[in-house]
Amino acid sequence: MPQPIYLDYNASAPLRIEAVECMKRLMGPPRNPSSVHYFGRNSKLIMETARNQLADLAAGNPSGFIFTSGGTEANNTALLEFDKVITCITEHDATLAARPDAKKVGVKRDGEINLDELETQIQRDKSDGSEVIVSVMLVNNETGRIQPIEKLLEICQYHGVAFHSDMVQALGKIPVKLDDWSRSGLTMASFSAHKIGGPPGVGALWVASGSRVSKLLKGGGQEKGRRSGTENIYGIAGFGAAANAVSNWKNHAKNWAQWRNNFVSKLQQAYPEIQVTTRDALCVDNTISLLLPAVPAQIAVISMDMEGFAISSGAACSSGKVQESHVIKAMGFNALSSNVIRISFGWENNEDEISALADALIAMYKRYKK
Amino acid sequence: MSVNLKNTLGISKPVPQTRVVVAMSGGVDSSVVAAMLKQEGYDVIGITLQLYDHGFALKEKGTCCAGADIHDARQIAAFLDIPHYVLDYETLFKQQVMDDFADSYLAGHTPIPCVKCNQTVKFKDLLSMAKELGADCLATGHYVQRQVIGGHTYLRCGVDAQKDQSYFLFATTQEQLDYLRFPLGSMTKVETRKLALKYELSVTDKPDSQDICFVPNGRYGDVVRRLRPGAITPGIIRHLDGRILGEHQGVIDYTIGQRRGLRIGGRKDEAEDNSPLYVVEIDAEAHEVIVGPQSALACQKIYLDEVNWLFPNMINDQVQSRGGKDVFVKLRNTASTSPAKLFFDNGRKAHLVLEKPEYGIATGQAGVVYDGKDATIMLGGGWIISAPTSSV
Repeated sequence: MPQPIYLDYNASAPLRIEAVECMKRLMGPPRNPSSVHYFGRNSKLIMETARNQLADLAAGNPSGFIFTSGGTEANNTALLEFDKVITCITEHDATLAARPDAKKVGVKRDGEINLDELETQIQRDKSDGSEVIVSVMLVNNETGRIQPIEKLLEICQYHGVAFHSDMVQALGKIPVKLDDWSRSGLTMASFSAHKIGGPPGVGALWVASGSRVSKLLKGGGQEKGRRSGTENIYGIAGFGAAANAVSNWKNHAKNWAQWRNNFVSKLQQAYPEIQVTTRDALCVDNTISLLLPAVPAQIAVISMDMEGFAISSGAACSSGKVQESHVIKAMGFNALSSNVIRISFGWENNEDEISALADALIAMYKRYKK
Repeated sequence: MSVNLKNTLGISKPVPQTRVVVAMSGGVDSSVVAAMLKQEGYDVIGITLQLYDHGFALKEKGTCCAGADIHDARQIAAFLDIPHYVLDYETLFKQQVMDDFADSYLAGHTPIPCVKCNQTVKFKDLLSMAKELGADCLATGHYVQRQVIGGHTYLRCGVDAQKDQSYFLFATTQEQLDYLRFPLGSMTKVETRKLALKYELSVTDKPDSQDICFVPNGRYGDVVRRLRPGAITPGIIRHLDGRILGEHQGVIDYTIGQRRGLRIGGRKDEAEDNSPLYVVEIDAEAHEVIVGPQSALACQKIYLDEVNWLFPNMINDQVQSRGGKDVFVKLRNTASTSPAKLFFDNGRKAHLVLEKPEYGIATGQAGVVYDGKDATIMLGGGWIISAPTSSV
């Protein structure tokens, strides 16, 4: 069987060759950046290079970045010690499960957070003097929906509450402007290496200067006392190299919107009932959340795998079970929530591959509908 | 050269072009099936069903939805380098199997959820999924044999009499049987474990499952109570002669023929020279459990409903057996077969007249029929809806 066509970048992107080369070069010598000697200094330099590369991509102060084991740890750290957390119903489990006590604001049919509801909730939670943080992702992992960050910042700044954003799916797909946003009240933001072509197992929490951050891991005081544990230097270096490589994302992403439109038109020409769940809402161009009214997502994902296309349903349990998506459900799709698949492409794809997937989906749809 | 040359699965295709879906539970049996077929060169796809929230069975919230068995199945599939998928049948399983299980106990019956599962989730939905994936057949790890004789597909007992699972497959239709394969039917469990060792499967020493999958510790009453909170009413335990002997916490804790754990203080039957007492009747409407001597359990006539037959020539059999067809029957999985006459009644009904009375026949169990000349050929059966005893 030929290598399957990979169209599940939002789950994990392929490792960029730049990250591979960078990590390969480093492997061998002892690498504890805290050591006093030559090896320590050398390792420290590698770490700080990576931090600067990430800072360049996300347009944020380098010293604001705390390297973590991934987006999950970053979200957990960000939300750890606030009295009250307000989040959105369509967040990733790394946020929802980090603070099960969080209030969850609903979304509109197109996936945008309900801003009026958010404002009411902030007023209610703040009224007793509690320290409140709002956490809303910049780009949804399942639908690609871009949340209105400027409006969110405005609301949070107006009410004087902290604002954290999971930006894991935004980096490398839309401009991220940490310093600018921090002037409008952004407190913290989470990132993950393997979504931009770095290795899995490394991420970062960016903290605006002047904002305090909780310690999830206590120990030797690495990362300026903010995250203990000997640094995953290979992972961090790979993250930096990937960030550097992805900085020209606008070049390879320039055709994505066109690919996305052509793909959707092709399917809708064959079966007009097939829809994009986010409709015409503002989304990242690499992500298509597709409703197939006649085919359950688990069948679509399995059939496509058998035919050599790696796609997903957006929500997979660690058991591999395809389950109903809480995101799609929250958008009001009810019984059809189990009929939504996610296609997410990236820099190694070309339009022929996406077009071939459209043909395979149409053939499957026809088979299943009869 | 014959164009009808068939491979080991009885399919007229070259082995590598024959696609087989293996229903993988994560246990030794189905893992060996997948390994054997992969070794033979078939195009094997593993499918595991997520049937219930594992946290429900363990009474723990927040555990992963999947139990260790699903992870075992994934690991075996990865080891064998075969595609493997986990299908979510939680909603369906709850509706078709677990709810029926609870309601059946509440009505005073003794259900067999494994048959319901085979009947609905496994051989309906999984089977159609296998077809959707372009598979030529669906293989399972059941210890039964499928034999084609004279153009008719028979279902026979497994060679390993201890492991034979034909009782649980009585509801299999002829159409399903044509598509199913049971590669372990001709093997003993010992041989299966040897093969697991040979294929270096990590599940080689995994113990056999003994219980209903969603009742891991055998305490089915707890599960019914969790499924139907508030629906269980305490009542009295009465002797056949009318005396009240004690109280119970719900008829669901009792099965016809049960002797131990009656919660009447080990009380013996005073009237009948101290012989032990058995549950002889469950009156779910009056919430009464009736006990009596073993003799009161004697039953010779059994009524079946929702019958399914695998006779090769059904119409002839029905016409020619007005006076009853000679068969063997099994009235619970652990029982041995006994001779009886089978009468076909109207609709999907039938009844059996046993040559000798049997004791402790529970409604909700299955009456499974085997060939009168060869008790290893399973010919179908039905659900026991009534088994009148001498006491009634």
